Amino acid sequence: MFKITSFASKNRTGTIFILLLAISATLLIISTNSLKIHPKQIGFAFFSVIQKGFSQFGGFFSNTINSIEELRILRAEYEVIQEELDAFRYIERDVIELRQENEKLRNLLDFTKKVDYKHVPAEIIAKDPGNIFNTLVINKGKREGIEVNMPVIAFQDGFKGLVGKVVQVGPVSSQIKPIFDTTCYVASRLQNSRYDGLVSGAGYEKEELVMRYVKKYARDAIKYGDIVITSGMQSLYPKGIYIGRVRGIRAKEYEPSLELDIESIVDFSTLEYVFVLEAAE
Amino acid sequence: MTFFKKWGSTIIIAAVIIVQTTLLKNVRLAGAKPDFALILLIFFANHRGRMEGQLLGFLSGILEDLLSLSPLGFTMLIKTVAGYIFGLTKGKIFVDPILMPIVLAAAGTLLKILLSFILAAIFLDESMIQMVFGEKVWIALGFNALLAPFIFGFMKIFKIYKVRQERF
Repeated sequence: MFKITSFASKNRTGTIFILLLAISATLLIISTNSLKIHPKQIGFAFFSVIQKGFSQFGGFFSNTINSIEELRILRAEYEVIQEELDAFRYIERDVIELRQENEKLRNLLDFTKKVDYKHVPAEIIAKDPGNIFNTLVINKGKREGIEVNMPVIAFQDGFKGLVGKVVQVGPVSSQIKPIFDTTCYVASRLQNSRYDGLVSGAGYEKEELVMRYVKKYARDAIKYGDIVITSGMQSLYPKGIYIGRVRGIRAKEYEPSLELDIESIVDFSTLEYVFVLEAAE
Repeated sequence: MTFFKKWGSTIIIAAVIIVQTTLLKNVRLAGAKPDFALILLIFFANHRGRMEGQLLGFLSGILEDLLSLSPLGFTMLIKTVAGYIFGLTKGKIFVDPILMPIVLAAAGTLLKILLSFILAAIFLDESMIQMVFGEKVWIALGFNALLAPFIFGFMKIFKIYKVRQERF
């Protein structure tokens, strides 16, 4: 015992180095074994507050600078809009009539929008600091009712596209694992031919997703540009959400299934706002 | 020792990590993100030695793991080892303004790739091993090497964190 203490005091730097490695390794073992009380969750809860603060701080300055330029543009736009307003006043009367007509037609067609699930809108405030893992951090957390495994979608170009799922929740922000991550799997289906498969990412936001386990005999029924949607089968993702379009079809002789390259509906490089879906009612 | 001298390096690296993930979240070169925190860790370890290098690596690693999808301990272990190893270079190499920062940053990134591979092979999903050697990682290596002279120079010229004179 005395020898260990004596060795430690003589080699302080080395001892601390071993201690730090031991702590890191222990935490890594705990993290990868999915314990119920996760030390990462506690830490994320703390640092997510700071991260959100930085995001808002940056937003304040950029908004101030932008507002000066916006003021100049707004003045010019105001004059244009004033002229347009006069023109629109004449149209208004027609619009009222059209609206009434539209309302009647809606009733006739029994066109009621059925909302299957509630959603929480959120803004992406941070991304992963490294190149190996992929994380998106949103500005909504436990306080807004976000929970782990909630699916996340976005509206782009008229499509509601799948973004990923919530993997970590802090009080004011949450971490999302995007669908282009290599460890994210989505039960999916080709919209037209109805063949099932499993979509996973290639790890890069600009690289195509891959749809595996599609029956080989489906080859002739699949066309380039076909839409892939979530199948909802034994999955946390609701049915019918757009994932992407078929951009490539691969058929290896020794494999019983096809591999499809899928271009994601969501452009992750320009993604700013997302919707976290609550469980279907 | 004043508070800033004691904790300055940790505060600077922590601030850089948070700024990089938020305000500079879209700063990329061909999809790859530079590792500002690693370059700073190498700088501080080279000037302060093993003890500060390993502690700084450990603390910056915790923060990165918490803000990333990486399992807790993954970056901690990598950065602790990097801090210790680059701490060994203190007083042993002459850091010129251009060449040595490039060499140190490239060596640091290679060490990170190697350790990431070992840890991914032991603890992570098979698909993550491919990510460790992915295109982005090698672009980031070049990116880090190119940025290192500027970051080293910035730290020295503006004396953001006054470094001790090296003894030969």
